[in-house]
Amino acid sequence: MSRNREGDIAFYLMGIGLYVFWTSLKKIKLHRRIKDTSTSKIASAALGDSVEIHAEVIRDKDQVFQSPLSGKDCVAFIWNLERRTGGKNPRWVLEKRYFSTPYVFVTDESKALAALDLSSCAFQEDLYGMTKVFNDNSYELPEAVLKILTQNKMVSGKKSFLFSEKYRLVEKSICPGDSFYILGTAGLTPASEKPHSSESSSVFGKRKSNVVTLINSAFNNRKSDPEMIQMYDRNGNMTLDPEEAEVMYSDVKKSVLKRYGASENPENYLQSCKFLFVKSKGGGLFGHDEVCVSSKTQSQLANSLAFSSLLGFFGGPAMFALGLWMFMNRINQ
Amino acid sequence: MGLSIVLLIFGMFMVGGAIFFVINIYNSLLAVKENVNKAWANIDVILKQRYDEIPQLIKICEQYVQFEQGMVQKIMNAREKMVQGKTVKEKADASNALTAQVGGIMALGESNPELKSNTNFMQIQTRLSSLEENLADRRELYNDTVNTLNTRIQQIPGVFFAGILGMERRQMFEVSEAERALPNLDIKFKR
Repeated sequence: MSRNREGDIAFYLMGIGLYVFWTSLKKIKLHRRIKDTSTSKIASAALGDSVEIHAEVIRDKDQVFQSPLSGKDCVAFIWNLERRTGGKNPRWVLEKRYFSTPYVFVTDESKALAALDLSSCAFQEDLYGMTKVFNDNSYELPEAVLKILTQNKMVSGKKSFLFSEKYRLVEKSICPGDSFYILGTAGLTPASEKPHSSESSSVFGKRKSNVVTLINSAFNNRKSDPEMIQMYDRNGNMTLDPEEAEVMYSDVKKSVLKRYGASENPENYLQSCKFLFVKSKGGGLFGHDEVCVSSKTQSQLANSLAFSSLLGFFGGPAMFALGLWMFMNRINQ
Repeated sequence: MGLSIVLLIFGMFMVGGAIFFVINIYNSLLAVKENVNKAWANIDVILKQRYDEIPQLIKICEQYVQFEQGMVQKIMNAREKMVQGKTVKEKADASNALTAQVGGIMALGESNPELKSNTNFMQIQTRLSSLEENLADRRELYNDTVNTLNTRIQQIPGVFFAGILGMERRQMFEVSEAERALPNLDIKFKR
C-alpha cells in the first residue's frame, strides 16, 4: 500500500470513528427518551414535548398520489435530490427535498386524528423507496418525474452539453395503513394548509392536483358514454345540462375518493386534527428536535437503538484509535 | 510509545462517554419526574373542567327531581375536596367519589323521559361523558409514567441519583371497586 493511500485511510478511519461515536451518543439519548416516555392515545394526549403514540396512516381526500418512480399508491412521497460531488472524495450531497404534501394524517384506537409535518420528521429506518441516478444533460427520467422537477425548479430543465452533473433521486413512499411509532412535540394545528417549514431547500407539492386530475379524467370518460348520459339526463333532452353534469361530477368524485379509501368529508383532516407533530425548539447538543418516526414498535426500536449505540460507542473510538495508530506509524517511517 | 498514545486516546473516549452516560442518566431521571408532573397537571385540567360542569348539572336536574336533603351538599363537598386535595390520593379519592355520584345523577335520565329530552341535560351529559373518557385515558398515561419513575429510581444506575435528586416513589391514581359502583341515590321525581 502506498504511503499516501495509507495516510488517506488513516484519516478516513479517524473521521468515521468520530462520527460513529457522536451518533452513538445521540442514539443513547434517544433510546433513553423512548424508554422513559409513555404511550398516549391521540384523543387524550396533551400538547407539549415528548408525546408518544402508535398510529396508522390514513388518507385525506386530496392525498391520492402515485409515487412517480415506483408507481406505488400512496398518501405522500418524499424526494431527496442529491448531487454527486466531484474531486478526490466524491459523495452524494442533498440539494433539495420535495414533499408531495406537507402533512400526513394518522389515527389510533381512540379514532382521533393527528398530523405529521413531514419536513419535521426523522424516519428511523427506510420507508418503501426507489432510487434513480441521472445526468442533468441526458434526462433519462420518466416524463412525470421530470415535469415535477422542472416545475419546482429542482433542476434547470435546460439541456447542457458542456457541463454534466450526476444526480440521484431518492423516493420514499408513505402508504395508507402504514403503522408508525411516533415520538415528538405536539403543537397546535395551523389554521391554513400553508407549509410552515423554515427549510429553504424544501419544496411542497400542490395537494389537489393529483386527485382533481383523476376525477376530471373519470368525469370526461363518463361524459362521453351515451349510456351514462342517458342515466343522468333527467329532462330527456339527450344532453347533459349543467345541473345534470354537476350531479354526475359529484358521483364521479365520490367513487374516485371511495376507490382510494379517502375521506368524503368536505373538511380536510387538518381542520379536525387534535394536534400536529412539529420540530421542537432546541434539542440541545445531543438532542433530537425532529419527530422520531419508525415502523417498528416501541420495544423493537429501543432494542435496535441500544444495540447500534453500543456498537458505535466502542466501535467509533476503536476506529479512531486504529486510524491514529496508522497515522503515527506513517510519521515514524 | 505509539501504542500507549493510541490506548490513551481510546481511554479518553471511554471516560468522555462515561461522563456523557452519567449526565444522560441524571437528565433522563429529571425528565421522567417532569413527565409525571405533566401527566398529573393534565389530569388536573380535566378535574377542573368537570368541577365547573357539576353545578350546572345539578341545577338542571333539580327542575325534574327532588334530591334527598343533604345529598346535593354531599356532592358539592366531594367537588370541593377534589380541588382542595393536596396529595394524589386525596384528589383521586375525591374524584372517584364524585365520578360515582355524577354517574348516579346521569343515570336519572334513563328513568325520567322529560329529563332525558332536556337539551341542556343532554349536552351536559355528553360533555361529562367525554371528560370521563379523557380522564380515564389520562389516568392510564399518568399511572404508566408513575410506573416508569418508580421502576427507574429503584433500578441501577437510577437508584444512585434518586437520593441526590430527592426523588421518591409516587402514588398511582387508583380506582377501587367500591368507588366504581353507582351510589344508591334517594330521590323523588317531581310530577
